[in-house]
Amino acid sequence: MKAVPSLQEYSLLGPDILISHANSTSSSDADLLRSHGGHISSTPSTELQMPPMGFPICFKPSFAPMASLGVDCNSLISASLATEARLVLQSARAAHNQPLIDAGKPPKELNVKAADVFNLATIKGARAVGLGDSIGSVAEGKLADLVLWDKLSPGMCAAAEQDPVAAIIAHSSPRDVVGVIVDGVVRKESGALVSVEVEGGKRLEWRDVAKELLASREKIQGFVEKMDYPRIMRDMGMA
Amino acid sequence: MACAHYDPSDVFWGTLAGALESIDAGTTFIVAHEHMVYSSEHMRQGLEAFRRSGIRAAFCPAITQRVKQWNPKLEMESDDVPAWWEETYWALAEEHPWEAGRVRLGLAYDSYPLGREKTVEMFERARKQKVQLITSHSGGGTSQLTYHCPLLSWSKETD
Repeated sequence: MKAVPSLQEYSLLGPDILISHANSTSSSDADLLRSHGGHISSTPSTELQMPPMGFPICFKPSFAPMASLGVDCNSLISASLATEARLVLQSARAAHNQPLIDAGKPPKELNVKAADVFNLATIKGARAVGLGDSIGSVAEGKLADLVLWDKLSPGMCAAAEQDPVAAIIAHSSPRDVVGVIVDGVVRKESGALVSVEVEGGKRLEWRDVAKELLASREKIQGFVEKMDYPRIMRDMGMA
Repeated sequence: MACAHYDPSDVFWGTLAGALESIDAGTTFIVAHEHMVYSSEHMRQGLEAFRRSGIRAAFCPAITQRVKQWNPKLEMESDDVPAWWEETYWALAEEHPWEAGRVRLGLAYDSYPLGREKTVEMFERARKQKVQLITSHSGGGTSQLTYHCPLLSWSKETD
């Protein structure tokens, strides 16, 4: 049962609706969602890899006005939005270019630009979650959710002078993110995460969290290794 | 179904680590479509991790199909929306938002096969509680549930 037709049938469409992926959504369903103020989130890494999804739709005309960019699972890929941005930008260019190259009519212009995907990851993300007035851009009166990049790092140097947006999209890595502020509180500074407070007032550095994560992983891996996955797939009717 | 192997502390550490990885990479907001909701405490520990992480988030618990038994044959729980899920979720809906608004409650809903009555009831109640957003998957040409919860594709009617 598809989300948008069901929502339409039950008269539940509204501006608080956020659809993940939306690949293969018809134009008419897209128009329906858009007319009710809903949004979609494209997550290139999982979509490009896992059927039945496929190429992200965030640049298509019916979807672009309500699209945003997201990270689906940091278990699959880096949590960096810059990575997703680069992936969706280049894959959208290739999807557009390839048929034209094959037809002997290679395009002379790029169909999508770095600024388009930068907006998907920032202001359009904010609008997709109903916070377009309070986050997603640097403006007086907005909440202090800010990211700082080092414009002199090996990755960003010179590129940041030429075109800061393109530098972030095409050249940056998490190493270049030297500061992050959320809700006016510094959460990363001088290139390192600040400590977090957990139960009992204890403060943990990232390495402390990493240790707990590794212990958790080892425990879960212990279960996974005992599973008979071919038999489970058969039980599920998938093999 | 991977969440069948997670206890609430795994949810806490995994979620906290993921949120910190996100901050480290320059992300300031997460919509958390929470699949790992195997019990009341799983739901609460996911929320706790976001609160502690410092990131801005819409915490959106999903109604996850749970494994009843693995051996000798895989069986899933048959209840649709467990009583404990509703008890915990609607209690959180009364509490939210948290951390002076940095963490808000949302709803992750892929349970359209439950039908009109239950779906409308969930949406209306969530909206009355002013949840930030309601998020659903929509994948390809077939049921969006097929790749996330393959069991649902043969246990319920789908198009």
